[in-house]
Amino acid sequence: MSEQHTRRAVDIGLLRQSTGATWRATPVIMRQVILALLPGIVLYAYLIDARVLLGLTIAVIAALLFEAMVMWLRKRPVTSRLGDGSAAVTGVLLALSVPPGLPAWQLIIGCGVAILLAKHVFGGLGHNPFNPAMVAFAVLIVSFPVTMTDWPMTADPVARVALGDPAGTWDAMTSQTPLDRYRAHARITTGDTVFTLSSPGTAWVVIALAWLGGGLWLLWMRVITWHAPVALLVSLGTCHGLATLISPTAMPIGIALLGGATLFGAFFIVTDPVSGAATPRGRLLFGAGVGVLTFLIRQFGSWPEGFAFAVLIMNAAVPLIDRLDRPRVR
Amino acid sequence: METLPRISGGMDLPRFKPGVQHPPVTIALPATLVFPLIGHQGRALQACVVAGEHVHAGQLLAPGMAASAKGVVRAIEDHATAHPSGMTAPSVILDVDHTRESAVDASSATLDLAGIVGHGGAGFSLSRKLSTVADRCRCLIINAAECEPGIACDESLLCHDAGAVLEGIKALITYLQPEQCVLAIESDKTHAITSFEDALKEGKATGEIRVLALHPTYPSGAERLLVNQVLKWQGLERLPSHQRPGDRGIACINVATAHAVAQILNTGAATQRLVTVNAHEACTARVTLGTPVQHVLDVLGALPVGAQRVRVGGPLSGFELADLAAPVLTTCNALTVATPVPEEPVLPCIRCGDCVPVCPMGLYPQQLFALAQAQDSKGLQRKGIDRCITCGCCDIACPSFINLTTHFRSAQSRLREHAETERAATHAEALHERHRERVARDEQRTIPGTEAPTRTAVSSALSRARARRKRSG
Repeated sequence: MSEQHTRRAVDIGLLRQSTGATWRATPVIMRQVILALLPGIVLYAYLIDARVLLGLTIAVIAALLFEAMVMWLRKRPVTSRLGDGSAAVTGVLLALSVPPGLPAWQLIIGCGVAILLAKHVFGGLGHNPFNPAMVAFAVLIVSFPVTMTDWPMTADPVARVALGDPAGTWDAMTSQTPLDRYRAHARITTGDTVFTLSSPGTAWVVIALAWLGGGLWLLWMRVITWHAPVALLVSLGTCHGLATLISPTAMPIGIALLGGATLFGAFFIVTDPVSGAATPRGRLLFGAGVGVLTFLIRQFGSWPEGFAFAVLIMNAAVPLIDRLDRPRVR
Repeated sequence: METLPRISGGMDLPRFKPGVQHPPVTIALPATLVFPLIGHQGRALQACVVAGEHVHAGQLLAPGMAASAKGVVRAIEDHATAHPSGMTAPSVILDVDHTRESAVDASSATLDLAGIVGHGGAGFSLSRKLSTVADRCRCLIINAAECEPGIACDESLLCHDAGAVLEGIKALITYLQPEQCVLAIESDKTHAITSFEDALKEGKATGEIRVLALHPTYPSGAERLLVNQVLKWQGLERLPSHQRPGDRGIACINVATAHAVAQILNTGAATQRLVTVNAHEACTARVTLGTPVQHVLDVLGALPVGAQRVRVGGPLSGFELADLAAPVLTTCNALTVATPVPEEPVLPCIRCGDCVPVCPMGLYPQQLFALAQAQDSKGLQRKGIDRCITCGCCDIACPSFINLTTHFRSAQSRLREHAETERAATHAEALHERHRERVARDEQRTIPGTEAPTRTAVSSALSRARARRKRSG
């Protein structure tokens, strides 16, 4: 029998390979997350604004540079940590969360906040209690409210009708997230207006479906589990559903689930393992909490999109969830 | 044969059972045998023989430790042991007497179990296990599940010596009088199952012992999991976490232990066990207990060369042997000679939770890991660290290559140690309290006129003494 054969009796690495654990190592997972985001990114650039590509490049480079700098300052191996891709994913998620036209320096500040303040102050990969991209988003929207709410929608006929400029005489319009349009103005009945792919209103829905597709792929690849996304969508849908029952002018469920950050967040933000709960039951609770809080902030808060804040609040509750969730020992 | 459903948790590992196809090779007796004076869970044993004493096979060297050959005790001294830490321990060194053993009268041999230590993983004393269920044994489970890759001694035992195993089981049935007896084995060990069923037919015991097939999931052979599986099959409630199998009248005994019982019946002493040896050529070796690993590998021509190391046990439960002079004892089921593979560098835990679904005990390894690093004893206990069977499933599942089980093992031993000191402290406090009470009681009981001397009485006595010394000086 060859040495190679005997190795099977001692090598835990071979067992890891045979059960697929090596396919789930952090660098591999991070690459898969970026891969899952690609279709959405392409559609975003094509349908909404190609500047998102520039934003993504800047954010990824900035995030990697900040990571390298802080690893050097902490006297840790720089290359191995850059290779795990977590900083790159943070940059990508942040660039996709902010408006594509955000000035580069503001985006770079965001990356700095995400990597330095949200991640390394707490001890780096695996130790950050809050989702770095969401911390950066919160800091940016509080610091630069004008540019952070400058979403492109000049070509959106639905918005024009809603805002009272059907002829398209205005040069540009600024508004907060596309979802905000439904908040600020009367309900738009989709039956009256023909949506086309070129109109951002539908474009956002198409992109949301691309996020959904990427998320389902991640689920299938076992990179994420279903618990947090499903809990989030169910709780958010239930809240909006109840709201429509009570008040007919409330946001319809379809828009609530397809618009805004909902699907992007459900599959790429609340599934962040580090800042989320780590057990199946904990994840259900975590996702449901984010859903309820998002609804509350959307409906009653002064922010157009409460997703980032909902995630941050639930991040703070994770140690409590961890503590309360006792294992059912067999 | 009936099949039980898959356990929840655990891992379906590739089947790798080296050396089962060939009959076991008997390793000749070495010049010396070594018996470390360590019992279950590392408890120290007190030797009941002295240097120079002649002993016979089966004679107790210490409570729960029997000699496996005739010989003379050369010394009781520190010797290498097969322990993960590579520690040495006081051991009985036995010079083997190679002259032929006088034939044992098998008919007069009684079932003396004092010296049998379980041949499963924990090395629990058989007599103590049986005493917990004596007179009220409901179910006897013979555990033939051996789900870790690279270990095949139990399978080999059933394939090549099923008759002796059956004999041992029958003796246990006579002793315990259980209402039911089952033999649990993984469904993929078809050869072993056929061989045992043939033995059942030959021994006319088909109705007496039922064969239960387990889904070949690691670690379905772990005692608690197996007992719960069988209880579920019987339509009974599973063991609550505070209960032991014995509390429900269940005895779960390893198939190799049953074979040891048969050895006692036939020769008067359980002296050997089967060991899977994975080297350039895999085989199963029949080794006399106490034989140094060095001797076993030497006989098989499998001594490690170059960068090769010897591993005791499988890839998950096993450990690298520090000193080849360490003896093969009842819990040693496999020896692997191979070049160790460098492990992947450990990455930080990202709380991915992959370890949660694979834990067969339903624990949260990720949280236990964080608590173990924070040395939070209360938290660890709250999250059930003492339920961890250190099977290693979480180690395999961890995408950050963290050896979680190593942390859990040390946390468990630390907690055990802590509990021990705590118990000792409470005991000492109780003694002190009792002493104080007694003193107080004595003081109250003092008869008038014999009171303890007052301060003035003492000082006046001192001054008298001083004056006396001055006078004489």
